[in-house]
Amino acid sequence: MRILHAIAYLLFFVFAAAGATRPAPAPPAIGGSGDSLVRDALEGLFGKDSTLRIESRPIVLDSTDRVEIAKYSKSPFADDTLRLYVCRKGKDTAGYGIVDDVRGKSRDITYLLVLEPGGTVASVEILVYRESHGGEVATSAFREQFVGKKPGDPLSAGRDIRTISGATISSRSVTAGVAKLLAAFDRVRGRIRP
Amino acid sequence: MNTASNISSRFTRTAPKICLHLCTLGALVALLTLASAPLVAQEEEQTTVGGYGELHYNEPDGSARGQLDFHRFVLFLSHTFSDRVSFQSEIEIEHTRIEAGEDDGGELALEQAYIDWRFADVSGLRAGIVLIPMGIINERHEPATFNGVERPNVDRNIIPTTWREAGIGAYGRFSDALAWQAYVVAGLKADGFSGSGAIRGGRQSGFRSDPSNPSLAGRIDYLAGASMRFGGSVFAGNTTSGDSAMGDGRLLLFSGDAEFSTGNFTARAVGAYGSIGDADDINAAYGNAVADNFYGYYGEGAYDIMPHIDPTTGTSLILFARYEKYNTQSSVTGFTANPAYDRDEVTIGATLKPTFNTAFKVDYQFLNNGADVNTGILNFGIGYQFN
Repeated sequence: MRILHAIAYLLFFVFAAAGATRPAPAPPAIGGSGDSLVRDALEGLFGKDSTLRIESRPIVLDSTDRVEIAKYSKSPFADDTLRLYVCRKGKDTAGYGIVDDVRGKSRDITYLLVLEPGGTVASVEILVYRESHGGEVATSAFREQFVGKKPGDPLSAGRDIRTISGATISSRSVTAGVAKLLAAFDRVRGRIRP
Repeated sequence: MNTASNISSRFTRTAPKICLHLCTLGALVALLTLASAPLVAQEEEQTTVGGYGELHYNEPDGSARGQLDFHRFVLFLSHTFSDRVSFQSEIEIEHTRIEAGEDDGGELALEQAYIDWRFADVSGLRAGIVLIPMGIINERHEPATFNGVERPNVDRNIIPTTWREAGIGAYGRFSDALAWQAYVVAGLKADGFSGSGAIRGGRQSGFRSDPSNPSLAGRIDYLAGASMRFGGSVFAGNTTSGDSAMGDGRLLLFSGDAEFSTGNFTARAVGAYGSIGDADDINAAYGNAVADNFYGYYGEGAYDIMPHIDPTTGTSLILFARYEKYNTQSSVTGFTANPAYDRDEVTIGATLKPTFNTAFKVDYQFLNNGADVNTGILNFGIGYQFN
């Protein structure tokens, strides 16, 4: 009986450890091959067909950019790179995707802002939500509020964007993040390589 | 001697079964984790500090003097070990200090301390000292998130906030709008129950907790669109630590809550109903006037008038009113219920929030009870939170 005991315990730890120590994914994806979540989301939105090409076009932000962007949003840009994707269908630009992280209560929320060619919001997607509470920001009722917003539009949580009861901190973080990315896109759109 | 050998033989019979269950769980966890999609960004190992606090001034009607009290000073400390594993804690100092030998002094307490393992994309395990997911205030009690200087009295006497126990559990989402939590925790102890505070004194709070009343706590949250949220919770377990003289003393506590927010208007409502089995036997053992049943509910409406004064500001000025009704002895056996424990209260007040995370509060509470004692209390408070 004791042996069975010991084996069962051992197996638990082996299996648990196998789960916990799965190979570390690639470092923050800017292009590369570790960004399948972004590509899957963009393919889902733009329609996966043979004409769709998703190109990673990261843009480096200098300190002036970051100061200017901070004026339009409550969350300063921590990163020096805007993780931008350009989506093309044939020769036309179908839209853009920008991946970013904002801090929830104590963990990062990884989200994707999808823009139409003119810069209006087509969609906001929550890619990775790490906290145990507040995951309701992923609900479409919250995310759909951003559709149609464009750079310069007021985006104040609680006023312009309704926060979700029970997920207020996350709602506010994502709202501030979208405002920040819209300001960033507006500033750098002339620099996007064709 | 007999008992001891019974227990040990029962243990050897059941333990391998438990281990096999653990093993299956481990395998499931491993499979779920290995099968999940690669991450776009890996969160770095980091430690975060945050906190909240509230200073209160309470002045009862009549000749009694008011008093100033820094009621709660709380520090959050959390650490991220990996993208999926983190530690979260809250350390609380109540009433500023702890005095040796003073019964009514402050309290230094661990309010939460658990390891959270998000093994799948939307679900995970947590173990340690966890908050019981019941009502609204118990899990979300930072002072800038609720109106009124003091927490609602239903969230004191019926749902005993801040209610936390040592235990283990899991959480997850069935869909983006439907979330669940389930825990097994150390239960309540009947010797702390009372007529005026129902189960409040029975909490163990992870302090040398007696594990002989393992209890279940569960909750479902449902989001109906962006403006409406419904929650339902249950807590069930025995309370007598297996003392055969008293029976099980089974406690069942149900609660439901709802929150509504649109534009400047917000509303919330909470109701809870509890029953305690073998209350007469508990009373015979401890003489603590425990009721068979107790209940409470409240509803609150609030309106932010600031946008009408200055639409450009980030400041909020919220006017609110709350009605509470609760009875900690709604049915009793073998004695007469104290009518003073059948209470209804109206709170009206204002919350000024210069920022989302800071609040200046004022309110007046009309306190009435079934013994026709009607009093009032004026409260001022400040509160903050950061993370």
